[in-house]
Amino acid sequence: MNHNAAFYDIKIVEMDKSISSASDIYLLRRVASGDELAFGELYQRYHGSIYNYVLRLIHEPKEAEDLLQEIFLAVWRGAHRFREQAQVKTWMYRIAHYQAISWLRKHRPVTPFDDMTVINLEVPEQVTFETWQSDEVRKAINHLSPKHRAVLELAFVHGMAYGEIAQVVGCPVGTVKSRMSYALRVINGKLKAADFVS
Amino acid sequence: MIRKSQQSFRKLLPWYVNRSLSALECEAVEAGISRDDRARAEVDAWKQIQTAVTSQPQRMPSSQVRQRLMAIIREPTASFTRVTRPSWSLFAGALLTLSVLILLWLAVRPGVVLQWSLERDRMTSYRIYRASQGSSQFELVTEIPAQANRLRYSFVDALLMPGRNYIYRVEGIHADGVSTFSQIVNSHSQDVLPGQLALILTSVIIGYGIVIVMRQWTLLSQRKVMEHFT
Repeated sequence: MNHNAAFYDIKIVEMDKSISSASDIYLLRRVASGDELAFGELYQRYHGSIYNYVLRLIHEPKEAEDLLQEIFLAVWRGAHRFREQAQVKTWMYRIAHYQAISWLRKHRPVTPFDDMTVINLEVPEQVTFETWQSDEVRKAINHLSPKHRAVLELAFVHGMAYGEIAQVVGCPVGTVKSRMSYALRVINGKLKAADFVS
Repeated sequence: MIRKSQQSFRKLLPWYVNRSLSALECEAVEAGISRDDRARAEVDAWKQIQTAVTSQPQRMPSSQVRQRLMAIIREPTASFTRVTRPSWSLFAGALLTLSVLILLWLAVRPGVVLQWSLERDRMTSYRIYRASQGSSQFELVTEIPAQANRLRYSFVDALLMPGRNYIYRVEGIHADGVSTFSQIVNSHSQDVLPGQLALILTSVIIGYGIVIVMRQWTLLSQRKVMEHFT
């Protein structure tokens, strides 16, 4: 009897090990078949980064928790529809981005920035970049619209390539690059206007 | 042409900094940087932005989120449906039912219809009294002003308790203030009840039907969103 119990325990440990080292796509396939353990592992891997991504877009910790719940429910319920044409991570961030932007549309006034503005604002050749303090840069970043902040976050915090970012935010690659250039101009402009730069 | 190519390599600088470019793109960017001082300055600017962005404090969600999630997915009915509060659906359904009921009641007026006629036009108004059957305590329901040359009148009493029988009488007020009472008439609840029940049932069906359709519509739009994601 004791021997059986010990054997059972070992089996559980082995199963957990296989889950923790499994690939995202393997986990999502198991989630699609209703595997709670695999779902728990996906949550463990991504809940922190997705929560912080959403939080930095909406700036409401409690609401970000509610959205996190909605995002992972969408993953649980939509796993069987995932066609494996993108990475699982990209797919999950896309759901997160959609939820955050939908929340902002409902709760925040319309942002004054749009893509037309971005296209019309060319970088002047003579613009100069100085040495900045991180705190000051962070303050300047807060002046960006959520969609420009999103691109910065995805590139630098989540290390995404421009193609992945385009999939997450649902726009062409050219728009992603333009948003990045625009973000740099805004940050540079804000820092200079506020005399942050010597 | 050269300017366009310069701009295109400079647009890759953020991804050169986050090291997500392909080897080919990386080579092109490095070649560009080596001959362009401004591009080097821009790379430094991006590195500072990267430091600022990545040094932001990380927060963690409460452990209750995971507990709530696991509880939801373990529900046997957990499906694609977004979690909606059932009490809200019930409340919305009840509110819609009541609104529809009031509208239908005012439009259809299911109740006792009293009709009376005169031989001559000499009244100034009519008062309608009602009492429960078996009681002699009449209460004034309404007063209708008389109209010139009109000899036939009717009144619908829609504010009745279902299942209760009533008796009615009409008092005609003469111009000189003298009044005349009609005979007492009986009404039976079974004559009115089917109409009232039909209206109540219709209102419930319409009220909760709207709620169900709205939930289905929300569900459908969510499904479309998920299909879009996949």
